[in-house]
Amino acid sequence: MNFEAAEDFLKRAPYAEFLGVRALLHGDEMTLVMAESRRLIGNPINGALHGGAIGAFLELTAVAQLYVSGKLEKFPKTIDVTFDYFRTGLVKETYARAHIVRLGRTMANVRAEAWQDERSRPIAAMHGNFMLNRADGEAELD
Amino acid sequence: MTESASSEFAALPYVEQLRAVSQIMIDGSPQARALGFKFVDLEEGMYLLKADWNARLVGDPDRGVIAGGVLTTMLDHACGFACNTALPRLMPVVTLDLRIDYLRPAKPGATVFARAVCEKLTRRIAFARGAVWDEDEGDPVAFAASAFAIRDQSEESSRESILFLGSLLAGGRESEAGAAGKGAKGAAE
Repeated sequence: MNFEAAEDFLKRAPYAEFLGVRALLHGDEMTLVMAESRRLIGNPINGALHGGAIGAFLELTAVAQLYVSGKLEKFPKTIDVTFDYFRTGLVKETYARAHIVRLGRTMANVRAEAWQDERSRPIAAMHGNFMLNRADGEAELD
Repeated sequence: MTESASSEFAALPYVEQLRAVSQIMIDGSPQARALGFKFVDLEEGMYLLKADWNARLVGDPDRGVIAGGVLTTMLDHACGFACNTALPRLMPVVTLDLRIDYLRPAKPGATVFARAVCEKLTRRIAFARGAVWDEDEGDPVAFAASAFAIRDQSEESSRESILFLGSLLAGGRESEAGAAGKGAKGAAE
């Protein structure tokens, strides 16, 4: 478990700062928090968070969880991601957790969920495949 | 906006009205505006936007590549608005799901483009596909496939919304009054 790697990643990635994302650690469980911000709104009429921002937050959560695994030497490359949107996100803190389904030698499959008021009523979920960058060179898709 | 300009706008076909207010709709969406989206073009069933490279939007600081999440947001926006161009009038569309395939990293420093096409409209669901590229549309950075729920809205409400957006075009007193009183129904999240 390497939480410092995850926190270091979030501090160094400009886009994580743009989205207002930080990590909370409770024992060995990591929850990411995207700060409340009107700048994340997609639809100004109902004040709904932009689906793209929610997706981006989920993808960051997945990458941070991969860093926690301690197996990453460099930033992992996303191969593909799919987002499901369940409920409107509003202007308040958004939380997310990721779960590594399979961590292989060169690839990983990760799922993540985001919620606001109730953990049991998520606003969105993601699953995706990531190429892990190995210490001995750049990982290519083929 | 002068009376004659506003009646000219009201007389335009819906797709042309949408074309005229597309940048306004981007600027009215805080996240789209913060990411620097710029409307490029649309047709019935197609929407094209671009975003300039911005150091604040980099995902991997060692390589200076724009973060995947920015492309996700561009594609969500483009797909949603492509569905809007295919609908007969302005109606909210809400993302159900969105899949992104990352074919290759975008070139550091490059402006990125996203084009989406509404593939199919049913009464309640719209399907769209999109692509992102940087220098050459024939060498894409990412593909997207998406489904949206179409939220019903009365014709009167649609008309009010598009006319309100049109009133913002020239700026001025009429648009300030409109902004204070009511909002346009957002077309996409």
